[in-house]
This record gives sequence, structure tokens and C-alpha cells, in this order.
Amino acid sequence: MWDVIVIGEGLAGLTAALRAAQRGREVLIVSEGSSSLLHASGALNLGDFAQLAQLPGHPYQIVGRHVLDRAVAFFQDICPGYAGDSGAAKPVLTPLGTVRLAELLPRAFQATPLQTAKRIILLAPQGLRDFFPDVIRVNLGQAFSSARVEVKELALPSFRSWQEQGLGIAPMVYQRYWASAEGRAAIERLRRDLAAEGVAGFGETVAVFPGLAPDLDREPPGDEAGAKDLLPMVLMPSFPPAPAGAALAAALERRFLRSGGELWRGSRVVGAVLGSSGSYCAGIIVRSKGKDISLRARSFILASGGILGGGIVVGPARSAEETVFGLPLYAPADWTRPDFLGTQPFAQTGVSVDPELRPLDPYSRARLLTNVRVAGRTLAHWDPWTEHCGGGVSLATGYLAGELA
Amino acid sequence: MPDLSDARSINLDACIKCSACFALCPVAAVYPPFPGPKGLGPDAERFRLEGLVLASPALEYCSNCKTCEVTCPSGVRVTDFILRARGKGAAEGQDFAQRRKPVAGGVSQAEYSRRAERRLVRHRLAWRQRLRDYILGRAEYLGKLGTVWPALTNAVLRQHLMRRMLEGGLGISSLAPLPAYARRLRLTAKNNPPELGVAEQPAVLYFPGCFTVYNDAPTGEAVRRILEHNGFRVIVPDFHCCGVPLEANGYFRQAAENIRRNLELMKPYLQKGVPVVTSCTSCGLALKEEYPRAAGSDLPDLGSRVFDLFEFLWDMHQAGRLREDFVPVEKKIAYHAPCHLKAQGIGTPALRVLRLIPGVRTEELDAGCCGLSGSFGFKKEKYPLAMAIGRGLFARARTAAGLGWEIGSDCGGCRVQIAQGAGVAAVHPAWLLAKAYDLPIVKVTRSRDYSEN
Amino acid sequence: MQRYTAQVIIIGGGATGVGLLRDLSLRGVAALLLEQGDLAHGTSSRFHGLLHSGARYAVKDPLAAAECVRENEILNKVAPHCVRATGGWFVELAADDPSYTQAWLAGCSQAGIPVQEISPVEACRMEPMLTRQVRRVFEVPDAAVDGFQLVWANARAAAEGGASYKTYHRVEKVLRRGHAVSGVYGENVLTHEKFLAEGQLVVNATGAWAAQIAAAAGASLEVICDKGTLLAFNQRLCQRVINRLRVPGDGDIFVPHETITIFGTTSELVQSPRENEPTDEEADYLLSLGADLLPHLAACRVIRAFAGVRPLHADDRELGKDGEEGREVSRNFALIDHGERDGIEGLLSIVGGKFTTYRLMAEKAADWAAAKLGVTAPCRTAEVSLAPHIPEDAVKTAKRLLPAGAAEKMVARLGPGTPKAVEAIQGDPRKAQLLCECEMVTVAEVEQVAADGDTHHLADVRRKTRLGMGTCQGAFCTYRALQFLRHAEAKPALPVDELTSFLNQRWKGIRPVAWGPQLRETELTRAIYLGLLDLGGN
Repeated sequence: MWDVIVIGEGLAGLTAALRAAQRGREVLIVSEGSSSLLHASGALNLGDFAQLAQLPGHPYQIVGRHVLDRAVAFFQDICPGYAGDSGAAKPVLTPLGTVRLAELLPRAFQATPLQTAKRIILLAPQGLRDFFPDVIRVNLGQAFSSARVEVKELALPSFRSWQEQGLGIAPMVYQRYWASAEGRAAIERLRRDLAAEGVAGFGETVAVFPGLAPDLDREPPGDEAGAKDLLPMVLMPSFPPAPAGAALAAALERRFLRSGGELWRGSRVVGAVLGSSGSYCAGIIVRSKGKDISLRARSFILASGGILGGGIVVGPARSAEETVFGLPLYAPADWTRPDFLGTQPFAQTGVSVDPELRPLDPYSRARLLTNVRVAGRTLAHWDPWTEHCGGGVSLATGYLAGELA
Repeated sequence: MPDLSDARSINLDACIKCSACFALCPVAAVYPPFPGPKGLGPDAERFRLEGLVLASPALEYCSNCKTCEVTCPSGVRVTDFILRARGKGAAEGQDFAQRRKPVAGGVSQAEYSRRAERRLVRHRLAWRQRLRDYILGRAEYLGKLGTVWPALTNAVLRQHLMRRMLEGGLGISSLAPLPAYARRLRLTAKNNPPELGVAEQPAVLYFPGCFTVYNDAPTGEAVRRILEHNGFRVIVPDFHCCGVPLEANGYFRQAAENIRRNLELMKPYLQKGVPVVTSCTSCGLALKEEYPRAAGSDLPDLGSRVFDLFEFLWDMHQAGRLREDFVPVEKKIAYHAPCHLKAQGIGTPALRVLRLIPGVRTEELDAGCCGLSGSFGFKKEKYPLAMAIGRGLFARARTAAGLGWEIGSDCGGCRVQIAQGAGVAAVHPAWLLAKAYDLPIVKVTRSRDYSEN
Repeated sequence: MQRYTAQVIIIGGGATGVGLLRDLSLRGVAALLLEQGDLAHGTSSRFHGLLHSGARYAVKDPLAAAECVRENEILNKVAPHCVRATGGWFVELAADDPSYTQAWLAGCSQAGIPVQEISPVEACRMEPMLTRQVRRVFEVPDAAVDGFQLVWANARAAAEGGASYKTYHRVEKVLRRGHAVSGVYGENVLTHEKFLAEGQLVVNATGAWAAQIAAAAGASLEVICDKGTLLAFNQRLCQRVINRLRVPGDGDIFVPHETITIFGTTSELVQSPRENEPTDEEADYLLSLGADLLPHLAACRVIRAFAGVRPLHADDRELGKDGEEGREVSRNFALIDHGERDGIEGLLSIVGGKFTTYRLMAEKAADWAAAKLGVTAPCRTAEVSLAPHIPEDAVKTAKRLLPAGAAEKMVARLGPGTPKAVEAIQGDPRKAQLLCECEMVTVAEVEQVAADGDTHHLADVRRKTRLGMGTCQGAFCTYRALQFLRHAEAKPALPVDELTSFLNQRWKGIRPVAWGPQLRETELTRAIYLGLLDLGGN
């Protein structure tokens, strides 16, 4: 018997579990597969809170500014390598070398040093997949017009056999090397050498390093740009599955396990057992191999990831279902719009909740379950991709759910 | 031709190409030419349905650790596609050959099918490798043979020259940690199946698995005593190998035969409501996954009657029926969860149960796959990969051991591999429970490393 | 202004147009083809992909059926690399009218279509997805044809024979000198440069646009535009064509194509050829119809919906019941000599027909042109093979260098371009990597195709390689392909317009089927392009 069972180990689920564990609860996370953070860039968007909180039913409107701030502080406590706040967004590179903004990101991701650089060295690890140095070089040149951009190939003996066979090396594989003692030493040596041959003036030459996950455990200072004889470095996020996202997931998981939590990965939650009143959840049903197992807890947090996470399944004729509790969903009448990169109504599908994140009927507003809370993408009335607030909503709603559970 | 209405094929549709499986596949991380689970599984499957030859040698490099299935956020049975492709390649060629009259024009249907059949034949492994896989797949026979005179078998297998010959002749790595044979586990009398009367104490059917029977009987004894201590009569029939080594080496028909025979042995007890308990996580996975599929409507709730030992004990604890008359055990145990335990989807019940023992401290090593994967790491061309895969785990185990932690894991293969790679002995977590119950101490065998002479 | 000359100017780069181009090139006639988009971007790429045995028309349109029988045989012979002889079944369900089956059998026999009955038990064993409500099953020589490949095969063969074709050249006016045509005038859609093409004869092979082009010549022509929507399923649901044995209607044919299955279709009269957007309702409707034949259909993943506009000839229309107009009109084709009809000499319009009979339509049109020009060379398109000669050693090398199965696909797609791609891979083994993993498209293929003179957009690359046509519908391969387009066009390094346009084209087909795993795929795609790459308008 656990105190809290969290369904889903995305950013919202992990945050909720961590907060509940911090409060002394016995927490279990059940997740169908690996964390969706594996597909995240590692940079977290909080979005324009003031504007988004005006949107009816938006999670920001429900939880409030205070919760977001506390959630961000909580997160930074766990990952000291992340800088920023909900105030100002900072520039971060995209995998194509263009620039976008994000509020909460690893210090090493911040692209600001490139803005004052005179010379930008794009490091190109040989064979790195989904990495296009020609395209990136041009885009960097356009984004940072006062700098000269050059590409420097990195040939590593450890990957020679890959090279010879013409095989692409996934960023995750390169990352394992960079994280090893040998890899770390190689990076340091490289930065020292480049700094020694650099243009006079500190900060005038900056390296861009693709496919390297930031070190999240390091407290400031001592971060990447610190030491004077090492070339300043800006990390460039990768296409998914990405080392930076995986590193964030791993850091959060490690912390969770160390605080005594348990993690079941690989099992889908297929249903719930309700108490006789119908408004209380007694347990959830997990599909293990060969059998369905009923797990009991005092409270539950549904962070099942919405449509992408599999927490909401949409059948033909656009019939949407929440897959654990069968909660009634808000679903828009018109479903899609022609401009793919514009607003898409279906993205607003989800569970409506009260100020404590407990599920409500979307139309009658009747409270449905007293000991279940919903966090993250499964909530209705928001869209991380057009609102640029994925990180913020996940952190804030996860934190609040973990706080209240 | 694959059964298109089979849920597995529809499961193919669930793959959204996120590549999480590839990102976390232990083999893909260390072996450059390995296309990865997505490539060999759901990607290739769409082409296999078209009849394209995709029985590539790369298929042999899947270690069947099932990390991909655990990782997949869409519930795709990735390993199923790969194993099926390995084994059914030839059979599919048969199905594909339609016995129809030629269709007018172009390539006749029959001709097309004949070509397809030729192409879908299982790729050509060297005959030595095929012989090796034949042998390594038959864990049961190796066990029976090896335990006729264990000391002699072990002495022979320790001979460097012998190992070089095995490597050259069959492709079994001379460095592979072939586990030592020992006295067999005592079984319940074969010709005298116990009658289960109403007044009898509750019974449990114990499926020890080949490793426990032929290489590590004392662990099997410890499991038996633990269950007896909790009031169960433990029945240990003369089971055949669970079938996993056969399947992993491509012998699906033989595996199916083993499954059938084991089900025959189990049936009378299952019908009386006796649960099945395993202490080997690979056997456990097979019993929960393959066996219900094979048993079908014969034994409809078979899967729900199979339990990993600690899963079983934890359920008893939840019901208030576990004996918790523990003596304190001042031990720190660094636990390695076997891949096939993770694949069972029951979490880490060993940790939960051990935490009930006063004095025990537990931590999870959480370092991924050990690399051995059954017979995978014994093969000459795969041994270096297996060692590379387990590197992270070996380092953690060494560090933990250095700090006074005992290494625990429920899989015999993992224990052998940890000993090989980290130079540290590992025990089945049941031993700590046996100690906590203060059961008569039985000598613990430590997995021996046969790469050095 | 660009100037071209030829004896015959062909407007329209669909199957008929390129078929005609090739036929003329074999007869030694200098011909130029002008196509407003990419080759086959019209109806020729938006159909079932079915090479009819003719059985479908056995009852209603015996003439069409007979034509299909012959053309099916011919195409199997001259273009075996574009045709997959899967065979086809006509399935009578418990709910169908057995007397129709009798009429059908008689019609097939009359048309010379070989029919073989199969027991329902055997049928269900061979096709596990098929409904058990089967009464009778008959096998006929239906086949699956790759429309793109066949069109490109004709175009390439024509070019080798001295003809030429220009894509993205939109004809705006047909020019006259007195009562005769003298050429055409139009615009290069990419460069906006105008062009003038002079010729003695002009053939209007624009399919659903035929009426518009005729009007541009001052001629009259009525073309009925009939929209048909189809669904593409993620995997092969059956190994042969499956037809419903009843009066031809909506949603009664499944055609397996390589890794997918195409199912359709519908019939709705529309005003213009541009009305080719599939709707949610049509997709839902098709899904419900298909469940009669394959009961588990609702659980199967649809990767996209698409629609093509059939150009039907109005003249010998028999007005049938309401709403049946589309199918009641003959599927035959007609050649309209505007000299006879409108007094415009030298202008021919080809209307109607179906893909299966494109070669025959082209032959008739070429006969007309040859007669006008006094050329006596006979038609040889029924004899001369379109199959490319690909050196055996190139194929062997490809199999050695590429991942399992990818070599076959590359050879099939690149055809005669294979040796060049193999050479590129030998020079740089990285080019053997898969760029599109869903459809096994290598870097070498994309690079080569992107460098083609007639590749201007990602969509062109897609049509030639199947990039983005698989399960993920371009989620991952789109950004990977960008770098090659850049080189080809020397455009800015992040051609956002190109990317957005490609994604919107893919989206157009996904919108009507935005549910299930395809909707999850869509969310993942949005996460990449909106989140990670931040390409939405901020």
C-alpha cells in the first residue's frame, strides 16, 4: 500500500512524485514506457503567464502564479544546473542552428555568449546523426551576424570503426562517450587547446557543441563558462531522442529513487477500482505480464501525458477517452485546422479540474473523484506547442498535485 | 504469412517511431552495425508483410533483454517481431507460397510465391554457429549431462585448451563465464505425485529453472525452505527447460514442445488452485507470457497464477499472512534488477520484501543490462558486446562492494555475469530472507568465473 | 521569355500525357510535354493503384472490361517493374445479391477474364483479416500498379527517345494562326518567366483540367469532375486486391501497395479539379463501409486520406439515379478532335478513361497525331519494354552495401539511376544510411533525386522516393531532407516556406483521419516542429 501512486513519468509525473516524496509520502510511479522527457530538448518553456492565465480553463489560471514560482524554485533545487525564472526568456539554439527562447534552461544551453562573440566554432563530431553542419553554419551566421562561423570536425578514435563502416552515431551513443572519464577529458583538452589558439579577448571565441547533455548536478558557479583557460561553450540541443532530455529524466528519476520512491516502468495502467460511492478511487489496475494487478493507495495523480502520452485515446469519429479512470473529457467540436503549425483545436482535449486539480465533469462541473488529481498534458484547455508553456504547466501542476496528494 | 488479425500485428500500428527503444537498447549502444529494435522490429515488419527479405544477420544480435518493450511508450511488442522474424522466416516462406494457378500476365502468383519463399529462408549462419546455437539452446540437456559428474565437467571446462577448442570449433567464447555444475536440486518424487487433499496444508508449485536445478541447487533449497517456513508444501516436479534458451536460439518448435510438456505437468496442480512460483526471472517471464499464449483456453487464467518469489511473498505480506518473525540482518544489499524482471511489470518486489527485514539496507544499482542475456554473452562474436554492455553495472557493483555492500540479483545469469565483469560475487536475494528467518544455513555457492584457469 | 518548338505539344503530365509523349517518341515524332505541377501530381497519383483485370466492369461496361483485359496483359509485359501481380478477389458477402454474381460471371466470361473460384474456408485462411460472412470468392488477375513509377518510366523512356518534358510550366493560352493551332503560351510557375511553345499539333491530356484547357483554346468541352476519396492504411491488410462482388459502389476495393493498403473509394460530383480535399465525413463513411469486408478495420491505423478527381466524359452519359451520375457515366475514353467539332484544326482533347487504359488512350491519340503529320510508323508501346536495364553488378553491390531490404527498394525507385547512387555510396559509405526509416529511403537516393533538374520541392523528392509517405508521414525525415534541397536550390539554409508547405501537404491528408496512433504521431510532429524548432508564427 502506497500513499501516492503517480501514473506517468513525464515532467509532470516526476515533479509530482518528487514533491510528494519530499513531503514524506510513500510514492510509486507507474509508467508505460520511458519518460517523454527523452524527446524533450532539455530547455523548458514557461510561457507568458499573464497572457495564458487569462485563457478560460487554462492550467495557469487554475494553479496561479505563486504555484508556478514555487514549482520552478523546487525544480531548480533538484537541478541546480538549470537557470532562469518565469521572468525573462533566454536564447537557446535549435538543432538547426536557429535561435528560440526559453525561460528555464541549463546554463550551458544559454546562447547569450554567442551574441558577443567574434568567432564561433561549430564543433562537428564525426558521424553524428541528425546533425547538419552546413545548414547550422549558415543559420548561426544569420543569427549572430557579428561573428565569423567555422566548422571544426572532431574525429574520435573510439568511434573509428563506426566511421569506417559509414555508420551514423546517434546523439545518445555519443553522449555515453562524453559522459565517460575519457570523454570528459577529451572535451576539456579540446576546450583548452581551442582557447589557447583563440582570438585575443575572452569571450570573443565561443564553441557550439552539439549532442552533449549538460551536467545538471553542478551548482553554480563552476558551470561551463567559468574557467578562464577553457573555451566558453554553448551546448546545442539535439533532435529526439535527445541526450539532454534523457539526462533530465535520469536526474529526476535518480533523485526520486534515492528519496525512497519506487518506479515501475513498462506497465500500462488500464483501469481503476472505485469505492462503492463512486467518488473515491481505491486502486488502479496495472497490466503486468500475464495478469492485471490492482495497486492500492490513498491518493492518485494522473499525469498520463494526454494524447501523445497515451493517457487520452481518440478513436475513429474523434471519440476521445481517458484511459485510466474513464473521466469525461472536454473535447472541441471542430477538431483540426488547415495550418499545421497554427492552432489545432484537438490539442485542447483533456480533463477539466477544480482548483485542487481534482477532475470535474467538463459541462456540469460536478466533482468526480476526491482522491485523484490530474497534472500535465492530460489537463484540458492548453497546448504546449502553440503556447510555449510545456515546461511551466508540467512543473506547476505536477508540483501542486504532489503538494496536495 | 503473419496472422494479420493477431493483436500483435495491430500492435504494429501503435509504433509512432519515437525511437525510444533504439535510444535505450543496450546492444545498439555498443554494436555499430546493429539497426536497433525499431529497425529490426516495427520498421522491418511492414516490409516483411510485403515479402521483402529482411532476415538479416543483424537479427541474431538482439539479446532478447526486452529493454525495448519496457521502454516503449506505445506498448509495441518489439522483441516479438524480432524473435518471430528469426524463427519463422522459413515457415513464412511456406505460408507465402500460395498453391494457386498462375494468374494471367506478368509474374504468376505461384512464381512470385516461390521467389518469396526462397528469399525468406533463414539467413545462412555458419554451420558451426548453428551447431553452437543448437547446443546452447538445450540448457536442460547440458545440465543433465553436466551434473552426471559435476566435478569432472567443471574441471574439463576450466581447461584452457578445452575452451580454446570450443571457441575455435563452435564459437563459444573461451572467456565466457560458463557456470559451474553442481549437485542437482532435489525434486519431488517423480512417480509419486502428491495428492492434494482438503485438509492438507496449502501447496505451491515451484519452477526452479535449469540454472537453479543444475548450477545453483542451494538457492533452490533456500527458496523451498522460505516457502515451507510460511506454511506451504513445496512441490518441485521434474520440469523441462522453460523454453527461453531454445527460443532465443531460434528453436521455436522445440520450445513449444517443452512448453506443452511443462503445462501437462502443471495442469493437475493448477486445476486444484495451486499457484506456481519461480525464483528465476527469465523462467518467470516465460511462464507469464509464452505459457498462457500456448495454453489458451485450456488454462485461461494461467498468467495470474504464476508468481515471482518476491511478488508472491509481497502479496502475502499485503494480506497479512507473511511470517515476519525476522532476526535482524545487518547487511547492505545493492540490488540489480534483471531485465526480465523489469519486463514482467511488477516493479522490484525483492526490494520491498527485503526492506521489511530489520537491519537490512537496500539500494538499487540501476545500471541497466548486465549484458549476458542468457546464452548471448557466451557466444564468441557476442562476448565483447556483452562485456561492453555491462560495463556500467560492473563499475557500480565494484564500487558498492568496495563500500561493503553485498550484490543481489534474482537472475542466475546476471550473477554469473557480475562475477565475471566486476569480480564480485552476487547472491540471490532469497538468501537474505533465509538468513532473516534463521533457516538452517545451507552452503552458498558463489558463481565461479571460468575465464581464468 | 523561354521559347520551345516541337511538332506536337502535349499539355498534361499525367499517365495519358506521358504515355503519348513516349508513343510519339517511338514513332520519331518530336514532342514536348508541359505540366503545370510535377508529373503525375493530378489524378494519376491519387487513385487506387489498381491495374484492373476488367472484372469490375464486367456487368455494366463490357467494352471497358475488354479493354482492361488487354491492357492489363500488355502492362504486365512491358512494365513488370511497376506492376505487382498480386491477383485479386471478388468477394460475395452474405448480404449481397447472388444473381448479380451470375451476371458477373457471364460478363467476365464474355470479356475473356479468367476467373477461378476459391472456397470461403480457404479464402479466410489465406486472408485472416477477411470477414467470415463470405459466401463465394473468385480470383481474377487484378494487380497493384505503382502510378508514379509508371508515369516516370514513360517520361524517362520518352526523354531517352529524344522527347522532352517541362514540369511547373502552366499553359495559359492555346495560340492560333487562323483556324489552326500554332502553339501554347504560359508561365513557368517557379521562376514566373513566361514561355512560348510552338507546335503544329496540340494535345490536351489534362484530365480533370481538360475543360479549362479547351476553354483556353476557345473550344468547348464538358468534363465531369468526380471526386473520389481513398484511405491509406499503415500496413498491408491483405496480400491481394479485394473487391466486393456487387454493383460497383463506394468503399468496395482494398489494394495492397508495398507497405500500405489503399482503400476506397467514393464518388461525388464537384465543380473543379482543385476540389480534391478529403473530408472527415468521407473518411468516417469509408471506414464504416470497409468494415463489411474487413471487420477489424476500425482498429487499423490510417496514415492519410487523399482524393483524386476523375475526369469523366459527359457526352455519352446515361443519367441514372440521383447521385449515381458519376458511376453511370462510361469509364471509356473519348478523343475529341476540335477541328471537327469547333473548327480549331490541330487540337485534340482526350477525356475520360482510367489509369489501366492509359496506354491505349495514348495510342489512339498518337494515331491521330501521326495521321495529321503524315507519319506512318506504327505504335510500338505494346511491345517495347519500359523496364529499365540495371546492371546486375550494381544491384549486387547495392545489396552488399545497404541494410537488408533497402537495396531492392532503391533499385525499384531509382531504376537506371541505381549505378550512380551505388557509386556515391561506394565513395562515401555514410550515404547508405537511412534518411527515411519508415520507407527505407537512403541518403544516397534523396541526394541524387534532389539534384535532379526537375526536382524543385520536397514534394517532388517525396514522389520520387516515397520519403515521408510511410508511418510517420514525414515527422522525422522532413528535417533530414532539408539539407539536400538547400544544395540543389542554393536557397537560404532554413527554407521555412518549403518545410511549412511540405508539412501542410502531409497534414491535408492526415486531418480527415486525425485519430488513433496517427493523432499521437501528429502531436509528436508538432512537438518537433513547433516546440523544438519553433517554426510556428510567433
